[in-house]
Amino acid sequence: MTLTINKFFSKNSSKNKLTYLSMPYSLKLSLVAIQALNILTLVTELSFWFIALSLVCLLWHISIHQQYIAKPSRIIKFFIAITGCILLGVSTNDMGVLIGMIHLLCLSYLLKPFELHKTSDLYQLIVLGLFILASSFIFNQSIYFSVFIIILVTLNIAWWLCYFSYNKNLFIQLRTSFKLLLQSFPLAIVLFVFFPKISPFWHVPMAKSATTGLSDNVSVGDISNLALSNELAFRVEFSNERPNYSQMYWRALVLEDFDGKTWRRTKKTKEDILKKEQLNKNLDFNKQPLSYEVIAEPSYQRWLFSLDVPKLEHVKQNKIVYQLNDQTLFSRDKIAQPLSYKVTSYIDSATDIDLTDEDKHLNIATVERSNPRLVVLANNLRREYQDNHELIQQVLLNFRQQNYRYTLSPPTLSNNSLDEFYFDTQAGFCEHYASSFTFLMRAVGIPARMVLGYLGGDYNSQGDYYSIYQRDAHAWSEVWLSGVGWVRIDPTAAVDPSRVEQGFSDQLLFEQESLSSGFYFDSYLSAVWLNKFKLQFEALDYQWTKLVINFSQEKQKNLLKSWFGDDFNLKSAIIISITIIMTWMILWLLHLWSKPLNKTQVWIRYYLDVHNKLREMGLIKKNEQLQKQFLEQVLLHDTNLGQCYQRFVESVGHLQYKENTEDEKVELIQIVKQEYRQFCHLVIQIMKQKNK
Amino acid sequence: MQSLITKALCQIEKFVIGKPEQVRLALACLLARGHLLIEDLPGMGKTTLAHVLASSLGLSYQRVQFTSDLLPADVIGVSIFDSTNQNFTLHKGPIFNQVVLADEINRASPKTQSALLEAMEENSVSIDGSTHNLPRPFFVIATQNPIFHAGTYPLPESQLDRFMMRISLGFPDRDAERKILSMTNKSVDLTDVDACITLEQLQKIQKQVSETHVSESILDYVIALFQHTRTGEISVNPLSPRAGKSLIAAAKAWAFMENRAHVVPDDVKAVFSSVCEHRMVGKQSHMNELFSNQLLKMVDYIQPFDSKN
Repeated sequence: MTLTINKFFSKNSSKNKLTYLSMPYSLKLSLVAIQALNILTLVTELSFWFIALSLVCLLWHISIHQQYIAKPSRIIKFFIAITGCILLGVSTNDMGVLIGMIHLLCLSYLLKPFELHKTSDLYQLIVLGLFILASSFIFNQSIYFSVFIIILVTLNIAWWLCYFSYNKNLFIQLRTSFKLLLQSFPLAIVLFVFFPKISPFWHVPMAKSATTGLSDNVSVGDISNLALSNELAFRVEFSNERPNYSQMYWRALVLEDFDGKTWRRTKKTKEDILKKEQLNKNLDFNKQPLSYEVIAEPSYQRWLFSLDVPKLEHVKQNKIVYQLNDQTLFSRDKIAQPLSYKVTSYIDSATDIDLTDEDKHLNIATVERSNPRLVVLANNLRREYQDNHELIQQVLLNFRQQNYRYTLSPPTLSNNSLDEFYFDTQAGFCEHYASSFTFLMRAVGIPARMVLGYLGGDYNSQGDYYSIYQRDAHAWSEVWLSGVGWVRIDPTAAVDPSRVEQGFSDQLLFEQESLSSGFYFDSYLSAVWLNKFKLQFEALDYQWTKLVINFSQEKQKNLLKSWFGDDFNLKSAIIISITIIMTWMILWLLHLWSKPLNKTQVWIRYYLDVHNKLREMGLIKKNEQLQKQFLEQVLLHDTNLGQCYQRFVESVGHLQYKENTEDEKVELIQIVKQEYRQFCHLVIQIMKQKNK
Repeated sequence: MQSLITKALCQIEKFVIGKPEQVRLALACLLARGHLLIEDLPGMGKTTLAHVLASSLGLSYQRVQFTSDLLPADVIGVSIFDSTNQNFTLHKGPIFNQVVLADEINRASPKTQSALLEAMEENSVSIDGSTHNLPRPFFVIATQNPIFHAGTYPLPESQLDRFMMRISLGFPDRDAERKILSMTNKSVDLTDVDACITLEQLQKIQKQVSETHVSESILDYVIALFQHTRTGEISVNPLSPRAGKSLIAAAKAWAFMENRAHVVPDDVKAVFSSVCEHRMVGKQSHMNELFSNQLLKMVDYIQPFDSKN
């Protein structure tokens, strides 16, 4: 690799390179194409006027190369630059700093080709291009995108090679540049694994503000919109045992505040963060807990997902992920990139056996005059059933026995009235049921709250993990029973048990498909092999997210600890890195030395070294130059040196080009060696004199 | 032997003033048993060079002025019916000389051109079915007007290949020109040029030249140079093995003239442009830089194959 790189640079430094003006036409055109491709990686982030501007610029470059129009004068260039900057300045307010900066980067990249005078300009252009490719990772880090970027990097470097090489064939240079990248791959991996992951000096401003997934205030009917989305919410890998489908209630949000229409999450403060001793008090350690790792997709929200009664595994993770006293998990920052955390869940453990009066009060609060018919029903029920258990069973029985229907397209309700749903339309989605059930419980006097989250998940057998999509969003209730604590009750299960046990029934899938205007790949995946293919792809993506994107500081530390023992620290890190660098250098030197070690070829080493020394003095021997001419040059520079050089070259010529017997060869090699030593000696003397 | 060469060179340079490089190349071409093509404007001393070269080496010499109506028979000769003897006797054409100067070869029709070129290739001519060997050494110096001159039939690439070297004299520098102009007509009399080398000596020299040692690394260097013309890196007509043989032969002659019994890369470089440029030119000749120069730049003469990978 080093050799190739050396060659690469020595080619750069040779004086016979072509100037930009003499660049072949095809090379100019391919530069425009590469620019277009580089800009394309950011196209989703660029505003429309900028895309139009880019197109104009690219077309302009092409027409200059075609010689339809002349190069723009300095005034025009200045005008364009100023206009672009003003436009950027005006629109940065709307776009935000990050996008504004991205625009600025692209603008300079687009305008740079107007100003290619020197080779250094070209360097700037190429580096800008690579920078653009790197910055596109801010917005997308999926494996497919990464592969695309790598291809583009290869292309950029190939163009660069083309420019400096005599061989202007892009395809041949593509191969070279691919080889170069391949050779740098081991180093990249070593750097990725070992290089300390320092937290950034500044925060990259949040790129996107549009949130996805659940929201923390829910009115009846909100989730059914989510049910149409096949977007990934998060992925889970269980470390040993996998729970049943019907056990997988992924809790995300607990909504306790109800104003008659909308359920809201109560404001959480620092005191709401669960203390360790508070948690351990209630956990049921007799049962085998489930431990799993969750990788949440970016949602630009802060809530996270876990099964019942979670316990965060790594202490240090608490810095990023908190557990609140309503047993939900919460991230410190908005989730802008995939976030992974490990959790152990103690299913069926009781929580909050002693509920404070304040909480109790909060969870039986209903709003006066909202849904009066339900309140009447509640009073009737209370009179009929004294026992809370019986009462709950009766309510669920009502759902089951009466003509309630589970549907993705429920009839619209005026004012989101629960009354209307419960008594009149009787058709709804999980949220309708959870909402009205919780309301009913509160009206009866049992503390109850809404829980939002996801139910179930798609198992990927190729990668042994679950994918939970937005369409799996679900809502259910929790009621508090004295002596038991909070108990999960899912009224939807009473209406449509299959939803809870297997996920969407065929009927619902059909509904989903007809409701959504988008094209769903899933429904066409009837062919088994195609499905398998898709699963494999998803598994690959999962591994990428898990191993590469989520390779955090924490994980790096753990990995290194597992390799080098517990007492891993900065000192040993430095020692290891130095060792690696030393090994690398030794290998490199060996590689350099191994070439001329062939005995008859030993003169090449001397010859090259002599010319390197001459080069340092400013005497450069070109390939096409005659030895005689060069000798004159050296003689002019220093007569002694010239004579010494002449003797050396003559003996090399005898050795290499004369017809010699083996004995003569051995003798000549000795002579060459002597001449070489004399030459070196002389060079050192000259240097000393110069320094004086 | 080398002293003879030096003497001959000195003598030729007396007549062809200010062009030592071209004179040496021309002589090297002769020593390497190749034919020479001189391309230049009229009046640059092409004919003088050819004439002096022939006389200095003591060779029989004849000049043929090629014109558009010149016939093949005018060059190679013709059988004419002799009424006294009642048979055909062969009247040998000018080609039966050791040195033939084909002046302005590209003014003749392609048919006549090819008659000459065939003779050059085979070293013999056939007239009326009988084959006649040409004298040895046989050396053709052809001169050519630049292609853009009126009334020229450009030699095709296949025929250009027959010439070992193509040189062009170019304008003399100021001193040389002053010298030329001040010379009286008398001193330019080409007829009384003394022969410096006898025929036997010349043949001996030619033999010695062909025995000059060429090492493996020189062959590698030549192969590397040639391969660069074949991979499409620069758009030229690729060089053939015959071109390679010519290059080696010329380099040998050059080495001999440098008083060496072995070829060094410098010899190859010195003759490379003359030997190869006219064989490569074809597709694009508007570049400022000679193709041969570009090639020499590309290939490292120390490690010819290392620089490729």
